[in-house]
Amino acid sequence: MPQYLDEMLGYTKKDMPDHPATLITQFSHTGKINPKAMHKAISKYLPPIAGGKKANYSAETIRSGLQNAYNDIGRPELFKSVNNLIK
Amino acid sequence: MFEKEIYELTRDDLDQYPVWFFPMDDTVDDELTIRPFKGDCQTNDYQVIVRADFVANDGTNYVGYVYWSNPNNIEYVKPVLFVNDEDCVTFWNGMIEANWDDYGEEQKALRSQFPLKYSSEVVQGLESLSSKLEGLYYLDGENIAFKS
Repeated sequence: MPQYLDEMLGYTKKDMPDHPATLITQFSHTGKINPKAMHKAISKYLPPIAGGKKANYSAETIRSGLQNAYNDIGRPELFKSVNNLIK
Repeated sequence: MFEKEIYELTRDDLDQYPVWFFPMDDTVDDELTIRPFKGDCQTNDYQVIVRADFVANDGTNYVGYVYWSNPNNIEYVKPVLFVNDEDCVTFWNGMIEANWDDYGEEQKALRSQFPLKYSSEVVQGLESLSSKLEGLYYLDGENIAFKS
């Protein structure tokens, strides 16, 4: 779960270490020539800025966006691991 | 260390540094923290933003940035244009339906200036990305739609 989305859901820095995480390469995480880079996929649905200002998404939008993003990169299990935190 | 959150970036920041990167490690507050990048972008896999020039249909020039990406589809490049030092227009809006009512008068004035062409700078190992914008883009279901 990206921390900036965690924060929108009301979680604090204290809460976040208990949230699921995964080890991936930098190429898979942010690679600029990788169309399936994780953050490229997430920000397709949930860009950090929208409407000219910092975005603030509802839990339902975050759920839908993350589900789509993780499906797009072929890692639907990542969504299942954080779905219970999205409320 | 000089850093900002991406949504705090100003036109003046881009004037000072043409390339910024997202460290996304334990040294930053969250995934939206950016720092100026001074090296060769070809030697790493950081997500970077790069300064871009925008030209309106009436010849007006603006400064902004794009997320450097290959492929350079709108949903990955996510162009941002500054109408003054702080106020910007975000041309990619993800799942949220784009709405010009979110903007002030200075930003809304762009509506009469489409199409806008942009080109990112050739800098620090990055090739220029260029394309044409017809409005504010967003996801309408699985399709990309725009409002001009």
